[in-house]
Formats: sequence, C-alpha cells, structure tokens
Amino acid sequence: MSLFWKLFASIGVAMVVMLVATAYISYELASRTFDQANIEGREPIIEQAAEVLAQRGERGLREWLRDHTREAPREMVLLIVDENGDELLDRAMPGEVRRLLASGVQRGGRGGGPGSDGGNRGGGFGGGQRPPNLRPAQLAPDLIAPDGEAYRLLFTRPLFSVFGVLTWPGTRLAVVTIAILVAAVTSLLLARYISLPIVRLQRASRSLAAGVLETRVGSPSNRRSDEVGILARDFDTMAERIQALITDKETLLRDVSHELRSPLARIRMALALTQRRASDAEQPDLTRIEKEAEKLDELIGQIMTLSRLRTQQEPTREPLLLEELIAQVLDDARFERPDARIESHGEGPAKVLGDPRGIKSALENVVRNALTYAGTDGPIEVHLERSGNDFKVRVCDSGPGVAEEDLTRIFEPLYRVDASRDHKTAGQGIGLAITARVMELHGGVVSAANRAGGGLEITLRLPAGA
Amino acid sequence: MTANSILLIDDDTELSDMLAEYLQPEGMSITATATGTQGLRHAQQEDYDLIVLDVMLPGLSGFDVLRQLRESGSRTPVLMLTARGDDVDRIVGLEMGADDYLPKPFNPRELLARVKAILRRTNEVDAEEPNEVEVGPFKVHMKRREAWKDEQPLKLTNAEFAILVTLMRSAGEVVSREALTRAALGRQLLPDDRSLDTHISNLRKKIAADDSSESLIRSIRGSGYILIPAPEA
Repeated sequence: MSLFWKLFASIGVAMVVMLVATAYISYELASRTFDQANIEGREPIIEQAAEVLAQRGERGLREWLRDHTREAPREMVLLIVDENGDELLDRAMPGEVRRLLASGVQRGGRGGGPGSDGGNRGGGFGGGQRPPNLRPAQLAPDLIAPDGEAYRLLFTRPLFSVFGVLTWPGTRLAVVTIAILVAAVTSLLLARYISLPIVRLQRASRSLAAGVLETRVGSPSNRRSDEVGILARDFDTMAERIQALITDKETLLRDVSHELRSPLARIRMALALTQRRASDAEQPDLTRIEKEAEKLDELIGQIMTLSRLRTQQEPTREPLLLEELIAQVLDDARFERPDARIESHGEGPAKVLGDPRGIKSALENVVRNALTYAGTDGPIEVHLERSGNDFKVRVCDSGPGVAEEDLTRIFEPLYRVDASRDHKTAGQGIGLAITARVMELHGGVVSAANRAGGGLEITLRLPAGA
Repeated sequence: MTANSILLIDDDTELSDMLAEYLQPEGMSITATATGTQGLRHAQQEDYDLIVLDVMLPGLSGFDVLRQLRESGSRTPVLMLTARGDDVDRIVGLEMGADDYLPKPFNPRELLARVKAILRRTNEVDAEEPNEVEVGPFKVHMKRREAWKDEQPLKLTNAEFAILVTLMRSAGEVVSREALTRAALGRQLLPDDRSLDTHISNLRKKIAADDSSESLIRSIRGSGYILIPAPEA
C-alpha cells in the first residue's frame, strides 16, 4: 500500500473517530444536564403553571410558557410536554428527556390541580421504566387540564446552541456524515501534502538510476522548509554531483581518446616510412608494432563511438531488414576469420526501425565477441526468431562461457571478465557496451546466458517495426 | 610518367611532412597546406589530380572547403579524412561530393591504396570511348562527365557518375558490390565498407522519379545492384 493511502486511511479514520466521539460526548453531556435539573425551589413556578392551565387551558399555558421562557433566568429551562410527546413551544429536547418520555406518559396522574404537588412528585412515571440516572425527585408532577389532558413539566439546563443541535432528531447521522466528509477532505489534503514530495523524490531517484543524469526534484518540493524539502535539496545536490562526476569521466575519456588520435596517426606514418627503409630482419617487429597500433586505433574508435552513443537520445529510424544486416555482418566475419565456422538460422523478413549503422555494429560486436572467445571451439550459430512483438537474434558459441555473476557486467565498458586474460582480447572491452547502448536507444534489450551444453548465448531483442 | 599532383589539407604539419615523404616515391608531388582557407585558395588556383582533405580543421572546416570547392564548379576528386567512429562525417562528406573517405588515424598503406585507386579511376574515365552512352531514360557524356535523365541534367559527384556509368553498361544485369566498388571507387571492397552503399543511396535520391515509387536502381540482396532500364508497367 502506498504512503498516500496509509496516511489517508490512518488520518481519516482517526479524525472520524475523534469527531464522532467528540460529538457523542458533547451530546451525552448535553443530555445529562437534565439529570442535574432540580425542581427544588421551583414550586411556585409549577403552581403558577397549574393555575394558568386550569384557568386558560393549553393555549394559555403556551402563552404563559413563552413569556416565562423569555423572562426566566437562563440557567434553567422549563419544558412542557403534552401527551403526544410534543413540547408546547416545539423546542428541542435533550435525548435523555425524550428517552424518559418514551418510557411512557401516564394519563390521569394524581393531583392535577394546584397545590397537589406535595405528594405527587414523580408520580407520573410509576408505570414507566425509570432511566438509571434520573431521580424521581427531579421531576415535577403532571399537570392535568380541565379537559383531562395531561402535561408534564421538565426542568433542564439550557442547551448551548451547538449541543442543542445535537439533540435534534436525525442529527446523529448528519454529524457522522459531516465528520466523515471533513475527515476525508482534511486527511486527503494532508496525505497529499506529505506524500506528493516523496512520490516526486521517488520518481526522480528512479529516473536518475535509469541514467537520466539531468534529473532533479526541483520546485516546489525543494522550496519547502521542512524535512522533506531538505531531503529534496540534498537529492538535487547529490544528483548534480553524480552528473558532474560521470560527465567529467566521459568527457575525459573522450578528450583523451581524441588527443591520442594525432600522435597515433603520426606513429603510424613514421612506422610506414621506417618499414619502407628497414631490412627484412627488422620487418617482423615493425609488423608487430603496426598491429598493436591498429588495436589502439580500434579501441579509440570504439570509445569515441560509445561516448557519442551515450550522449545521443534518439536514433534515426529507418526501415531495416534484420536478416540483411546479419548477412552483411556474417560476410565480414567470414572474411576476417576464414578459420571459424559460422552458421546462420532463421529467415526474414524481420522488419525493424532504426539506425542501420548502429544496429549493424551492435550485431557485429556480439559476433566478434563470440569469434574472439570461442572462434575455434566450435560453430558459432546465429538465430533470427520472432518472439511476440519483438525480433530476437541469438548468437551462440561453444566457448568457455562466462561466470554467472559476470553475465550482466560484460555489457559494461572495459569490464574484464577474467583478470588473467591475455592480450588477444584487447579491443573487446567496449564492443558489448556499444551493443547494449544501441539496443537501449532502439527500445530493445541485450542479455547473456550460459548455454546448458557449455558456451555463451547473447540475445538481442528489438521491437518489430511496422 | 608525369607526377600526380596532390593537395594535402591538414593542420597536423608534422603528419603532412611525413605523408609527403611517403607518397613522393610513388610518383606523387605533394602540396601541403595547414588551413582550410589556404587549401581552398590553392585548390581554386591550380589544377590538382586529387585533394586529401581532413575534416577536422581549425577555422574553415573540411566540409566548408568541400562545399565551396564544389560550388565553384571544381570536379577535382577528394579523399576525406574523417574522425574515427563518426558515421555522420562520412555520410555528409560523401553526400557533398567527396569520392571516398578514410577514418583517421589511418594505415598509410591504406591511404596510398585509396589515393591510387581514385587516380586510376579518373584517368580511366578520361580515356573512355565512346563519348556518349544512352540507356533507358539516362544519357551520359563521358568526356564532359555530364549526365541526364529524361533530358534533365543531373548533378552527380565523380563517384555517383562512375556508378551510374557502370550500371548503365550492364543495364538489366546484377552488378556485384565488389565490381561496383572496383569500378566506381577504383579499389577493393573491404569488410565493413559502406562507401558504395552511401553513394548509391545518394544517387538514388538524385534520380528518383517523382511519380514512381520503385527505384530504377534496385538492390539485390546478397549479390549487388541492378539498373532497370525502363520501369515495367
């Protein structure tokens, strides 16, 4: 699960729980204010109400109640409820009061008239179940109107408006819904605020790892003053440093190679002049020097090619036939190494889009690698196959193969599989790196595996072109 | 035997000196210049048999020299020395009318072989008879080294001209890459040799008929190229 969802879920759930709990506790507190209500010392009011009811009926009682509510001190509110459970002024009632009423209003309570309050406290609730937190002493007796209708008087603490709202019917559902919505929006914003820069960092580090050295996290993440902002700035500094190091290395390699070309050209020129004048006895050594100079030349050429390929982003895309390129490469290989057996399997047309020179040199380097290490060990087989949307070229030899841990590293430039390798391998340190880079530029891959029967198999995969 | 005059344009004067020393016994007289401007002036004032031109020159680059030379109407063959591993240089150079290329640093024997090859070819073509050849829509004038397609003059480089003539002589037959390289470049086909293919691709572009998608010069896989005298209906 991503950080975003974890944050979103945990913050969201915590907020919903807290909001609902707060609402519930407030509601409970509001309800319990009823518990603290006391009729003691309020007998005159009850008497007055009874009198009004007896003389002016329900309507009078309602008017009296309205006046009383307006004038009465605020610390205690008087509610009058009829037999249907409706408050006379349609005011909100604490849940506790409603529960109490739900337990049953008894008709015909004793002592409906004025002055009868003394012995009838709580009498109206004889048959109902009394809520545990309610003492009968807190309840006023019922008032009975001349028409026999019973009214109940209840004293309760005034409800603050917010808490009052909580006691309205249906409010609980609304409160929970609002709590969830608020929690969702807040936690969404918070989770995004925290996880977004981390996602950006993650993207940046992946891109850097993939070799896009220009990658930076950049704004707005790096403008934050918090830890994430510091991390983003540190990442950018690191990326800059890595880019500088790698670019320096490549520039150096290219510049050195470039600078080597002129002296090398002069060496070869001087050598040619010397060869012309030298005696026959001196010729073998000069030929040797010439061969070594050629190898150096080839290596320099490969380094320059690789460094050019590395800076290139998009290859030219011409329609090509892989089988033609393979045929050309194998023709050249047979010309160079008439002693080796080279077999070609598989038929075209294998159409791909790409740079013919690049793809040809990619193939060539793999074949040359096989010739160098296994040219005399057995046939070198080149297979051209279709595999889904790709074309696969497998170059198999029967040579010594490569240690498992080196299978991916042979595509690194100048990587030496075996430190004790002799000089005949010189100039091969760059070839497979060129192959790998060309494949990468064309959206393909190259991989190496040891064959079951011994030998190395290098597979080039290229997406089929239209 | 009259000495072949060769103009060498390369900023590496030490190398030029040695190269001059190397080519002299082969019956070639060398004029060496170190800058493009100087080289261009020499090339326009005197008539050389061949120009060996380094692409990497300070100031006026080898490409600039080649372009100005061809723009001024000179047909002097040019052997280009390109940076090793740089295919773009090679293709651009051949497109601009260089006859052949050699990556630098080069094997002096290889350079000598190419120089000789180009000289041999230009001398041969000069001695050709008859003067005019016509095949299908193509007509060439050997002495003046001019070519037309459907009476429209074609602007061809030396190598392209030689390839077209060779293909016309064997019109309707496949000419191998080896034979074409020998005829057009005056030398052997080498492994990894793309000079011929680059020239042919440039030639195809120049003679491409606007209405027919099928090229008049077709490549036959594994064997070579063929000129179709008249496109089949």
